[in-house]
Amino acid sequence: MNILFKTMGIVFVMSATLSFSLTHNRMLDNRKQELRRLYSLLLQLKSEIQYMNNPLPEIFAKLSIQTKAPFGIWFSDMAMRTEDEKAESFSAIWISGIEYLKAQSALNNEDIEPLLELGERLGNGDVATQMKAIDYTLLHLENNRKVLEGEMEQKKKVTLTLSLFLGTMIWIVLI
Amino acid sequence: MTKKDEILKLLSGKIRMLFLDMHLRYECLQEIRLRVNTPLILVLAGKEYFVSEYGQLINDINNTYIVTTQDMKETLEYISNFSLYAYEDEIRQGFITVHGGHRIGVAGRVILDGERIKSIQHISFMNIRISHEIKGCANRIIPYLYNGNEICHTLIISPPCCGKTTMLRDVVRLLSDGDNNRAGVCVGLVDERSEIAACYKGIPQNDVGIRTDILDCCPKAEGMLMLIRSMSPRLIAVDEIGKKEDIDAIAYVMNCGCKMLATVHGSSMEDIRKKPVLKRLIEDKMFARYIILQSGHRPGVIDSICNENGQALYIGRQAREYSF
Repeated sequence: MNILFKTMGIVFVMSATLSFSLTHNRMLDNRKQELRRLYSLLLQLKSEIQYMNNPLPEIFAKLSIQTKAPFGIWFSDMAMRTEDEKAESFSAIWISGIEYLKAQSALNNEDIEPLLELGERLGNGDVATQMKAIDYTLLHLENNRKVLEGEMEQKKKVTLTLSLFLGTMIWIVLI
Repeated sequence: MTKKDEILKLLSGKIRMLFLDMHLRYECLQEIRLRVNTPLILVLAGKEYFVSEYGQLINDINNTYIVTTQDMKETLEYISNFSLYAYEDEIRQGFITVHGGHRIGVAGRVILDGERIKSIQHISFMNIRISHEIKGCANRIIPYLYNGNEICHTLIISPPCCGKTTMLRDVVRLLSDGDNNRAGVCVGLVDERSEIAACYKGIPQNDVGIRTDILDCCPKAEGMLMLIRSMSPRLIAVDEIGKKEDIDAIAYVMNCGCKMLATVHGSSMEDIRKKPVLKRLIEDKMFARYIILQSGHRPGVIDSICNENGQALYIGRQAREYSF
């Protein structure tokens, strides 16, 4: 009986630490996918401004239909607040939208920072200024994605190894 | 959407609150003047008022609400739908037309590309001109525009802010719709500044008649030729002619057998005759009817209606029930 409980305890501890590493690794995968999706969405935003000259509320509404959460919800909220309500400045609307993204997506501070800077320039100035601002953001996002892809495998292995080590240390201490 | 909602939606949050406190008669509101670091000014029924910090109309410059940079920035965001880049062409011309047909003049630092105006930056001055559609204001003058059953080439001469665009809009509507006595005609309207029909996403916000085709935001000269070629109008209407190419296009339209309805800045036929580009209109007797609007406190007051020889067919010195 004692051995059974100890075995169950070991399995429980190892599962817990492994699931932590799996969750962390999944977050890395999600972040990579979301960076790709965000890059694609910003490219569409760029095209809509450059070629169609559509206003931002219309572009946000289009993009919200084309993509799923969290970006779909983000754009939908932006579309509603810029089209219908017109009760806040664009910078306030954008910042609260980015805070939502930060909470609901796998993006980290490094990814959010260029988006915040984009919000300061989006909608202001002429088409050329918009293009430069979006290109700058795309460059940062692309860099972040490449760095992530380069380090991802190593990070996953390290996380897995550390979680196994931690799990082993815990059950050694307990036993 | 009511006129009140259309206007409030354009303004910054703080100025909007002031307007809500004021309980204005929006049908009398003509202009809202925003200038950074100066008092907020309204023009109501031809009179100028300041706005106090508590949302009251006052004549005293003390304790007025001072427009801030943030007010200007926010107002510009709402006017441009948070997309200033989408209004580059309009800003280059110095104004933006919004939903409801209201025209917002902007001024600031001009950016040049060679000798050409590229854009206006640091917009710190704004004039929101409120559009007022007044149906029926041209009812009394329509009979004078006919010679038998034929519509005459007509020119509306008016000083600034005397209602010529409002008058033109109603004349177009009445001629397009027709009535029991006269059949309606196909009208081609070149609405260069989107003031007459005030198209928003392609839909006219003002009633310009059931037989009217509109070229929105199109230069007048090119627009007239396009309409002649494609839409078979009986009458072409344009607002504020002034350039040589406008006059040439008008001559072409007339030669094609189409009737012309236009407006021009001026105070009288003599005043138009003195202008080098426009004198041809009078000297060549291009138009058969001249409707001259009177300057004064109330827009839409008709001074006289003359024929091509300058003979008055109608003289109206006093404000009548159709003035607005």
